[in-house]
Amino acid sequence: MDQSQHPEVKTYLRRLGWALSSLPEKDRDDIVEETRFHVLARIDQGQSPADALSSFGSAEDYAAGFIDEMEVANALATQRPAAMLGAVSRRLNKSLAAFLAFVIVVTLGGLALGCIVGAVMKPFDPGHVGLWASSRGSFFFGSTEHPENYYELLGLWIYPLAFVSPVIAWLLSRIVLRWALKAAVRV
Amino acid sequence: MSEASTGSVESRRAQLLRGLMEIALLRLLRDQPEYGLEILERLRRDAGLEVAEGTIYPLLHRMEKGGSIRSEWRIDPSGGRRRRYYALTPLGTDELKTLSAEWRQLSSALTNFLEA
Repeated sequence: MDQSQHPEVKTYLRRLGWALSSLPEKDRDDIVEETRFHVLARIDQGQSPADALSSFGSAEDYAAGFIDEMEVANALATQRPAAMLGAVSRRLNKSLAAFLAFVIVVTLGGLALGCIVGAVMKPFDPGHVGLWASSRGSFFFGSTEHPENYYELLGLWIYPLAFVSPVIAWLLSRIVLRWALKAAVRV
Repeated sequence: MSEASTGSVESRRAQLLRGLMEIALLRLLRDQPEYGLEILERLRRDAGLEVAEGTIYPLLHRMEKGGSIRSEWRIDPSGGRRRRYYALTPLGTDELKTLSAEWRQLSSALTNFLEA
């Protein structure tokens, strides 16, 4: 039996192919072919075409499952932080692990960026830029108009820190993102 | 039971099922390569997992991308039909051993706790 005998199957598979257009051609063709054989086998077993198709959900929802799974698999396979961060950010409302990882990565990135900006500004305004502490125990990193109210902690260490902090942030972010993606696909 | 709590129980059940599907699928493919429809039927029949029709293929594709299984198109000897067969890779075999050990440890501890 082939799909030409079932116009609704043909329409469903065409819509599935369109919905999978963001995937590589081979993956898309394999998924459509596999779905075709599955649905036709169910029809051979006695199911109606409508029942066989409805068990997959709409073509768009079914395609979203693949795109979701493959995005995570590709991000984990390439290990590229941008791909992993993109995959995590699209799961913020579905996974607590993704949400926590996003917050941690943004914080780490912000700290690293702050160190770099501070190191760039320091030679131009050495008396006002740094890691400042007040006598009441509070800290802040950046520039102050009133350095007499604080004492500076880093001094020239701000320069090596500007080199080291992005590396540390990058390494920790990769670990956190990998953990979050693995956790996200298992729930 | 209210509709909301029934939905919550079903959601938790679906989350649990998804985690178990992966380990059951690896175990199933340890014996021999299988195609999607047969995998689905055996997960339902042999492993007792109520797997929805539309969830098995996305999982298979993700596991293939992750390297724990591989696939190839073959002609089914019984029906002459072209099917995509999935088989375990060495990485998948290692994952099965690890996940099985973790599952035994977890289920044993949880059973003891629930029956205490």
